[in-house]
Amino acid sequence: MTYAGHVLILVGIYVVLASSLQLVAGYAGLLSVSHAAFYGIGAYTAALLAVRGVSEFPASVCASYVLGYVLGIGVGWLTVRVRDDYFAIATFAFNLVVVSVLNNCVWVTGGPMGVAGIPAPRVFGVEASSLGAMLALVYSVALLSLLLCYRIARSPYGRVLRGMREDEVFVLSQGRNVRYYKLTVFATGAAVAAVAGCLYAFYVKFVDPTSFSVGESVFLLSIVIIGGLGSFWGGVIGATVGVVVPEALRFLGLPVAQVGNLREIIYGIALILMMLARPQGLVGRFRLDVE
Amino acid sequence: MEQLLVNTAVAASIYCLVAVGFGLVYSGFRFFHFAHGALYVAGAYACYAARIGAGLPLWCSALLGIGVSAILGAACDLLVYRHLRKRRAGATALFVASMGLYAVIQNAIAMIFGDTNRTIRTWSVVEGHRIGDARISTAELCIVGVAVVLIATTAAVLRYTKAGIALRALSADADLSRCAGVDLDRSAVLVLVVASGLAGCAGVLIALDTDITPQMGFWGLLMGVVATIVGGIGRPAGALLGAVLIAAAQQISIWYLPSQWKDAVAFGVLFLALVLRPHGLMGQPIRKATV
Repeated sequence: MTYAGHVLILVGIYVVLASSLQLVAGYAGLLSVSHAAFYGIGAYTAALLAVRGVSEFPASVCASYVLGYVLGIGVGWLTVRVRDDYFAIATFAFNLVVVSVLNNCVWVTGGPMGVAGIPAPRVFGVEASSLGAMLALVYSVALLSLLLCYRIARSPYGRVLRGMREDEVFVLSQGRNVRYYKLTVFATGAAVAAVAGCLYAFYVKFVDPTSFSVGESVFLLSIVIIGGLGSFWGGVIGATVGVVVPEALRFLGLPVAQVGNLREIIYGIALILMMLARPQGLVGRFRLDVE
Repeated sequence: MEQLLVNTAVAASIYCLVAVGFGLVYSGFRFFHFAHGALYVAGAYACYAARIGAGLPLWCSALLGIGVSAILGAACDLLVYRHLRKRRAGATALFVASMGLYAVIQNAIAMIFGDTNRTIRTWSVVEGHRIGDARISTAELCIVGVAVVLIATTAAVLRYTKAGIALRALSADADLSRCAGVDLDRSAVLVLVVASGLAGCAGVLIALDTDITPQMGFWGLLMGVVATIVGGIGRPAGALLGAVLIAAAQQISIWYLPSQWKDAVAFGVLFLALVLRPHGLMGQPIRKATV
């Protein structure tokens, strides 16, 4: 039962991550390979605040959200000026810089040792340490973020994003400030990813740089692509498949180190097959393969 | 000072070998060949397997390493890229598929050889040769020598042979050159073989100088990409200039900052390049948008 709860919590966290990446990559067409960096920034924010005595969950969420948003604006300001695969490489580089900073600023982040001993979160003074309370927290955040994505996707703002993805010059010709849209959606995605980091830090009670590597960013991008870019359910399905399938691998009885490798090989193959056979993902509408 | 120059030359040689191959693929086929980084690792590990595993002589295992990379490169095209091209898939679809290939190759290597550091250096460490006040080891001399010869050869092949002219025509206008009788599929295999051979060579050379890990592909790839972007795409001379700039920036930064920051410095240079001169120092302006 505890194990099922654990898997459910992970699914919830990945739903938050996938739906926020869906905003950036799916709706706006910005293939960001830095989502794990913002996830990590949120996790470290919550962790460092908590070990210094601030374990009030709403406060950590606000702090992560604001920090994620501000950094998202900063990084977006540098990266949205380049297009497509250049954007992917630029964000990729940012992710590596973040991991490098987490590893090397030992006096703040604890370096490769990470931050351990994160206390249980408190919600308005009440400690939420049980599995049930954690589930409730994770799923309320997941619902909120899904709601946010849904609202954005259905709004005029979301329509501009989709237009930008299909034909940027056309949107520009309609008098829309493409840069403003790209910046704000990138920052919003980053901020929501940071909130997911908050959940992760309070659930796992330990953060270290390896959880927020470029590999994780590629993994997040691949679950969104496998689920289906630009589709509301695509992110949810991608997150569920992305968490549950590797858990199933555990029962094959392979050494732990190889399970990680096998997981990534499966995602690699899935990505290739998706591109070859079903470029719009399992339930998506937006095809990556059309010029 | 002399040591700084020597170190810059050694680092630049490796970056440049990776960058030239990466740039060849990019200029001909307009997509980020992410798997290039994994092929570089594959070269190093094939050499390791032949030297330590099978006990072959060093020159033989080096050739084997280069060969394995070249074959894997050709396989990438024959199994994946070719089919995507046939359906006129966009650069983004190719990029995503190539991330998948990267994940598969790198993790397959990690599964076979394990995640720990390996080395092919069975010889004892001796004092290097002297150049002025600087010292350079035989392996490092080897790196610089081989890189200079290979890069000059590639540049000459691109400039003077029929295959080179065909590739340059493809990079200028793919549709027109196909009308003029350039066989796209054949050139693609050829380019991937040459590019991957160069990457494999870089992998073998790095294995002569340091330990190898399956994860080194990220850095190898990124330094190559950074050098390509900074220098400008489509010209070996641009890649050389980019590689020297990156290597020099890193080596100089070691004087002022702790050495673990040298990768972050490389990305600082990348960001600057993307912001100030996105088409590179020697390249033509990149397409901002297609109407």
